[in-house]
Amino acid sequence: MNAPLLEVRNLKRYFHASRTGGLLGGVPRLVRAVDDVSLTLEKGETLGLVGESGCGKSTLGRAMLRLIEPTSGQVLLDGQDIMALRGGDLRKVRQWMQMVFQDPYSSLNPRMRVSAILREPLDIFHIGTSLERSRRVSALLERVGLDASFARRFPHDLSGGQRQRVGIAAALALEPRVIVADEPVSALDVSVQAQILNLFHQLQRDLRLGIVFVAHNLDVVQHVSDRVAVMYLGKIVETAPTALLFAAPQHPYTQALLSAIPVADPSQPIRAQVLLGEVPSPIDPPMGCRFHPRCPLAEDICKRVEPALLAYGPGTAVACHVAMRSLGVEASSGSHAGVAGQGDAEERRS
Amino acid sequence: MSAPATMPAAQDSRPVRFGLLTRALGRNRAIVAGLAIVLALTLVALAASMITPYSYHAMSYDAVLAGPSRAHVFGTDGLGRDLFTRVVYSFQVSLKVAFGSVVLALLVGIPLGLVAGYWGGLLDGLLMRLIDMLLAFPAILLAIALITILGQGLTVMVIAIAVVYVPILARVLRGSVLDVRQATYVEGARARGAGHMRLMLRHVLPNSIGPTLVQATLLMAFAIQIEAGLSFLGLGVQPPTPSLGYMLQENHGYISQSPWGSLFPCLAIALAVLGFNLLGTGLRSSLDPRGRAR
Repeated sequence: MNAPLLEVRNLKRYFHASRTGGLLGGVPRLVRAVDDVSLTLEKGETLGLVGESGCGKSTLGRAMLRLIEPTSGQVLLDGQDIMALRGGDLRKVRQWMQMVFQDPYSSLNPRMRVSAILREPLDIFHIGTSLERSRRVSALLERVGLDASFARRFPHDLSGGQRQRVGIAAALALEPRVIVADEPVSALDVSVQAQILNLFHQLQRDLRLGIVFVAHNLDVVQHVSDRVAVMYLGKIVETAPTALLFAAPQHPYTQALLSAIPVADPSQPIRAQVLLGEVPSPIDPPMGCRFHPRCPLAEDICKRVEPALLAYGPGTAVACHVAMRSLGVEASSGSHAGVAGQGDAEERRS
Repeated sequence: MSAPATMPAAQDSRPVRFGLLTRALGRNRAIVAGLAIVLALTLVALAASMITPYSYHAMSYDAVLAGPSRAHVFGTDGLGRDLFTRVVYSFQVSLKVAFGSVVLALLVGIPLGLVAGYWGGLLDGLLMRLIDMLLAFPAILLAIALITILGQGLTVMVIAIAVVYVPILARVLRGSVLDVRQATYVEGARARGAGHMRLMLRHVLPNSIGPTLVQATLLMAFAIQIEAGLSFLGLGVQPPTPSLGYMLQENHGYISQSPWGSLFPCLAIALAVLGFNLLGTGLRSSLDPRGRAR
């Protein structure tokens, strides 16, 4: 069986909250920002990762690249476990996995010219001669739709869209195979958003990149993703091919998110299914299904038993007791989505 | 930045930098005034032997405690030595101490602050507690203690003041490093394979050094005062080398007969302190994003 480009198994990232720091410290409390997430990414595929603010999607994106150290779990790039790598080995793998950041105003070093920013990774990995590196800088700028003269500019001379293009060029400098884009358009004007989204589209098509596209806006995700994973409170609650997810969302949370997309037609009645209450604290997530306090379909079992993310068709999976029943999938007969059962992967880790 | 010469974009770095500098200078009168005073004092100190009419230790019994005149612009002291000459030579000591102590303190303080802020954790905790201990001593007391241990002289004074300054500068830098190391561009550089050394020196330090340099400039002003204070107490440079503080000590006894011996060294100290202070505060306001056109 061919290993997927990127595979995440049972990834967890817990943070300690309310530690006052210093020598004494407070009572440590756990924030389960990412709690047992498994997913795969194929070559040339764009996976949209959606969820509300604070659901752990950015943390998951960073933990995949080990920019944040995961608490446990495995990340496999082309079948190689990168969790075991240290120091120089980890840095070598980093060149295959890059990140595009949300805020283009803070993601470029204000004291470096665009050329220096784009050239730095080439210097670090000793790629090409000095002349080749300069050519590569021009080629990268061209690739993201900027004139080579931008190389001489400082970030403060650029607009938000131009900066984000530079950010993307920097991520492409090492010819990565996976790019995690952390809400790359949410800080941009709507007109610029479309341009950047088109750029992502081109990159995916031309370079056969695997892209994890993190967003809180389903509209944006619909345009760029082949597949979508919906996150709620540190867990993936539903994943499906984009068209299917938008046509037939199974999880009540996904349904609520979709109904909240505004329709540009004033004659249409507002049919947003407004969720009641707040997102519960990930420090103390609800028992059973994490969504049950806000779920319009919640039943007794939802309060007691946490639903597993189970596949119900090719490339689809949902973590909801009610949805599973209506789909006619028994918990026992459904195969685990993602890969590997709980605890399975952890045992294998050294 | 240290970009190789082959990089085409690096060629125009000078004009742009210079343009920024002149624009900043044009807008910021404090920097201009401070820079003018500091440069003037430095030139005067460097050209001391050319612009002074007498030797700083030449005594003249014909003109003891004389007031300002054509022969002695600032007058003379109790031994008939020309006050103008002595003030000018004193600037050499003042500036040597100011620059020497601050440069030395920066050389030690920058690595300490950078490492403490960047790595955090136990190392940071230990370094900062050590710095707290040093900061608990009044500056001049700490300097006196060090001079008592190490002996007197210009070099010892520079070292003593540097020891007082290291914790101050390290602490200021650490504060801004704590902020900058969280920046997304640092994370981005890490994602693109930058190691800790590169992250610290090329990404964190250039973006966090500003407030430390402002502080360093202000500390130069303070160093001139400390030097004067130590010399006044007889713990500074040894006679016959003139120093502003020592001149005050020599002449304050005659203050009722001839105030000039106290007045001119005092004014000289004030001018030097003012110059560095203006420069420092000017730099601070030009680095403050709220005061800068974006």
